Amino acid sequence: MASCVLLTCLYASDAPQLYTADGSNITSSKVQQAADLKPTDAGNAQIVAFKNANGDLVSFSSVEAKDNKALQSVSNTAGCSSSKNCSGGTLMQYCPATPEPIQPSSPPAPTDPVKPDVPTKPDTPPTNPDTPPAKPDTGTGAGPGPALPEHEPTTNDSTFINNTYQTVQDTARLELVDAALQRKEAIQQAIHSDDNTLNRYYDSMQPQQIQQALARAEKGVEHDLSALSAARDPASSGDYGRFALAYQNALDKIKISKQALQDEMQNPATLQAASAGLTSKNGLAQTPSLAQVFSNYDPETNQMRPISPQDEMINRIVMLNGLTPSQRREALSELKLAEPLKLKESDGTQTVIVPHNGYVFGAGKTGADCSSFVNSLLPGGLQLTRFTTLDFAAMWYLLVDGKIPKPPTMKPGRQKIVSQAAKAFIPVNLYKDQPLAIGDLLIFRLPWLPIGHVFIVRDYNAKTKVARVIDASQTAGTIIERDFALSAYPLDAPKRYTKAGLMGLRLKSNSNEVCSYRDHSKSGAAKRYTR
Amino acid sequence: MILHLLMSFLALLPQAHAASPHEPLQMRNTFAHPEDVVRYYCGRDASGFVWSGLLDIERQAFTLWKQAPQKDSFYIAKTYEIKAKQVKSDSAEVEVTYDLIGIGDAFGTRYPPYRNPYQVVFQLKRVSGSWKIEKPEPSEIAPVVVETQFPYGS
Repeated sequence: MASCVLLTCLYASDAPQLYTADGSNITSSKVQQAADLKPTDAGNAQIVAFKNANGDLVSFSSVEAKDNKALQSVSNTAGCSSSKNCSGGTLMQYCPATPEPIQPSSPPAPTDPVKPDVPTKPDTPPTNPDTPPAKPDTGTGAGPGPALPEHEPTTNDSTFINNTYQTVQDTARLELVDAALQRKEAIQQAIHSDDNTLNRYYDSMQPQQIQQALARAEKGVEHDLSALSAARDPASSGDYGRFALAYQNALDKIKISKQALQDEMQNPATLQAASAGLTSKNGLAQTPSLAQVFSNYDPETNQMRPISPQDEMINRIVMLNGLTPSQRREALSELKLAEPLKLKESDGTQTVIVPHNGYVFGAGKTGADCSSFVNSLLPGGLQLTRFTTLDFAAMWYLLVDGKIPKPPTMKPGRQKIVSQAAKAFIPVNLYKDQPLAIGDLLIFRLPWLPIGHVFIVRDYNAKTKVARVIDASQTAGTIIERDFALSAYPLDAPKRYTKAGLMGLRLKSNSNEVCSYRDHSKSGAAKRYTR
Repeated sequence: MILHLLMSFLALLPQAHAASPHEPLQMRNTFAHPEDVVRYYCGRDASGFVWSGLLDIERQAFTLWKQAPQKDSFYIAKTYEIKAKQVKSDSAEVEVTYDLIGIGDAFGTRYPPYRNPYQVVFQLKRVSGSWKIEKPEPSEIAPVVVETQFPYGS
């Protein structure tokens, strides 16, 4: 991408000390060797250079892979104010062979799916570290190193005031963490309650009645899918998309189960015998085939396997739509996670009642990925839509550099939402050793991979650069806490550079034009951050 | 024998994917060839079903993954080709080559593709008579939607 400029930079940059993951030096010739490899060389090497608005080179990255295993990637991000002056500066190293923020069970590296065993992408700073952050560092933040006060104390800079100020900030952020845990628990209870509410209509149904219910469900789901597919709201297209796909899956499940049930009913005696031992909690799972569709039944082992919240939600879509009108009205009065959505369409608006897993458009709670979970915890004004890791990264860039870089291209409406939401945050520049604090959002995003992650920071050790993070795994159906190392360098390395692609966002704990915090001292932390 | 050889040869030829509205959900893995399993996965992926959350029952029927991929972004492709690279008695490699047009999310945010074409080699194992995707791992694979089959955010 701008490798010729990069090479100029590399030749001039003997001074910086570069280290590999094992702490050994990278010589300029080694970097040069990496630089000489072209992106087309089996994907083993990449060079990336970034320029600022003035066209100056502000960062570069190189990467080399050996024997399909070793990876070294280095970036020089400071001191490159122009292509002719590239000495010194902050260096970052990114080594996907070490645990990375993707999955809790197999720590992850954002490897290229083309060669999953070969991490191939270069690291790069997420922005120009030469650009000062939007807020000055004044040393009042949590932990050692430069800090990011949300606003400057206006009185004397006394220790007492600073300590008090810090305590207030920490308390607010702790509440965010508490809210994460409480919210997740509350949602799981609500899902369980909704499952029970709908299951009781189906528990005693005979196969013929289930056939009728499936026919009703098919009609209802087709109608709602049509409405969701026709909805016109570009700013929420991603949200509509997720629900439309869930409804499509629901429709497919109905069609499969209708056919399977019809086949099973050809032989009532066999059906009765086969269904006798089934012990699914799902009311629709009355026969072996239906149990496979709605309860993940394994006929080989005769066991009901766990199903994900996403599957459970699709089952509730089927069950709600399979009820008679009077049953439906009754059920809706009890369901905790069913949202009437007013969908704008070309010929007017239409209301669809959507069962969900706690997250539904503007009422955000939880969803199918980590970023939707984090969204669920954000205060009022930030819940207008689901933010992706691309959005969070764009906010960080905007706050640090004053503008969202291009690429990516964003739809104007989306850019407006993201820009507005960014006002609720303070950026934490991890490449300037600004420390994370409790409740910060830690975002991992590299532009060239559609893989990103966002965590909530529960604790941070600035000395070891290890964050204790809360990670949402929809598949596991629970919150996972784990340690995440911001640097791949050993603790005794002379300089422990931060991995590439990491950004911190700190939610302002004071009310601002985006977020309004209400004092619900009697209602607990979980409700404090709800709308 | 000749027919068997002919079918094996045909299976190794690249097949252009014909766009369809969406690959219907299947819960039983009755595919005889590993590339058919990959074709099913890619078809579901193309319409966004991997991005929106692979269902447990299809994950278990067609993969050996312990969990489904969870990503909020995806590659965007014009089309893709599936080619069986190597098929042994109990293991196989199937290569998928995508013609990419970008990287983005469902709100319309787009990056240009980092590289094109983009290839994924699926490694499959035959388990109890069924071919199942073993690798890439879910943490290593990203969704790839096909432009004409994924209307959201475009």
